[in-house]
Amino acid sequence: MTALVAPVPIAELELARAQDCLRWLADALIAQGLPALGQRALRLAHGVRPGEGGRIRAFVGRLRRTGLFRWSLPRVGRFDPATLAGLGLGPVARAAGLAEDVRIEDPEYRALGFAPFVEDRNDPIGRWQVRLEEAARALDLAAQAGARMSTVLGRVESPRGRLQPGNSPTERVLPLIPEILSGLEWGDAIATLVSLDLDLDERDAATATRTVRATA
Amino acid sequence: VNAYAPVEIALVAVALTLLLGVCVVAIADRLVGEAIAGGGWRVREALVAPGRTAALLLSQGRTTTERPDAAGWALAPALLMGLAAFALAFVPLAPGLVVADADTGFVAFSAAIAFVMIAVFLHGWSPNSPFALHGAYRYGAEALSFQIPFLLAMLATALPAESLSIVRIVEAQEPLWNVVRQPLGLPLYLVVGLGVSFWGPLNLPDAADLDGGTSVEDAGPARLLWGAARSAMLVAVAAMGAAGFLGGWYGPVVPGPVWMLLKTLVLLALLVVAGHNLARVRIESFVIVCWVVLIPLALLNVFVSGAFLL
Repeated sequence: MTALVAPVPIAELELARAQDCLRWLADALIAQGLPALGQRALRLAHGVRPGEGGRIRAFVGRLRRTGLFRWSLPRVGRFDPATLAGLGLGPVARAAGLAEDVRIEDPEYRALGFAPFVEDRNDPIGRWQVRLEEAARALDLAAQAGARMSTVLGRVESPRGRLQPGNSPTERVLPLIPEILSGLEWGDAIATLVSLDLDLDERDAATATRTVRATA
Repeated sequence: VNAYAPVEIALVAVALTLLLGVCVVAIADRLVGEAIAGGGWRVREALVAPGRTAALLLSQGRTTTERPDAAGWALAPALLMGLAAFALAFVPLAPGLVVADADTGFVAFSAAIAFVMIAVFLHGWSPNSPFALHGAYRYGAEALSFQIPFLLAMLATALPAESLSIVRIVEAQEPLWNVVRQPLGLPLYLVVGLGVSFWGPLNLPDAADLDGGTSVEDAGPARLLWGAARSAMLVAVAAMGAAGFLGGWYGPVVPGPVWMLLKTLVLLALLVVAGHNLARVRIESFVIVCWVVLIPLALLNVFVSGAFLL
């Protein structure tokens, strides 16, 4: 949240992004019936350092061998990309082929050669792949960034998308969910929801900020 | 029937085997899980933790739901445990060392496997809870799909023996184990064996996406008993795999029963490791794979085994 109001070191932002992604991964692996690997992801989240993108890629290689992307994650839960455009939904949008990322607007990120990682699968597998690759790239970026500070204020690219005071990405994606879940088998619906990385606490905080502003 | 052990000896033998098997599964599951989680091979912790968990569950009270079928809920874990015990009773440890050496041992074992669906469905239906019932229906929806290849893979082992007695099936492997004679058999048996004992990638009725499925409402001793019954079923599947495919008690140097135990432990370890290393499959994909791939392969295995006997 500090990054919304003041410049912060890019290295810190990117390390936090990778750690957040790994914490999501831990929950997601438990939901897919891999609790031990979920614990490993959590250990990784606590132990990773800038420049260790290779550790995450090696872990992803291990995940591939579990058959996760072949027979576990469903190929359903696709959004109409047109409805996602401009909503700033981070990995969800980038997994649907939209190169939306607040970091592109930041000259410091551009100086580092940053470019969003984009997929076009637009399903839970695509969202997993985007998140995991972004986590690995975040650690590489953190190592390159040195003492560079973020310069864009008032909005930040959180692990779930564009975050602004009183406006969270979870809040923006929630109205779109019923359409993609309709008719799915329960397990597929849960896997789809997990792939969206909803943060209801973040949504509640945004709502509270708006209420305070309105009251003031 | 060739021979039955006296009732007292039979009960003690099966109870001891199950107790030992359940402990081995709990310890192996903990040991492998911790190693995969990155905590290393913590043998001491793995030996102690299952006992600690059991003590904790025994000290907890039961929970209840609104208008459950209390009798069915209490009966389901006992039924599953009973089926595992019944199945194990027909698996020989060595010549003459079997609780029930029946000419129809294969049929009895298969019947126990088929009745697992009743236990799982009862366990999911009786708490009167949506997630538990969903888990029960999941098992019902997939059971036929994996039980057919499971039984076909086992049936092929009866062909060289020309008998449905499990003791005869083992004896027929003295010159050549079925794992060599029927290379498709054991892999098929183990894959669908995970489904029968709803373990690891095929734990669909008790899956995390249903918050525990049929056992979501279980607490305390009931949860412990259900977990133990699931492990017992895994032990029964591994023991039958050792007898049906790995030559049972045949092996050099050490006595036959030791070989049988070692082979069962190896299969148990394989199943436990698979449970931690393979992601849960989607029920739709699994059912399709069963009918399109596993059942034809199991039939091919039966036909090829039969052809070698002509």
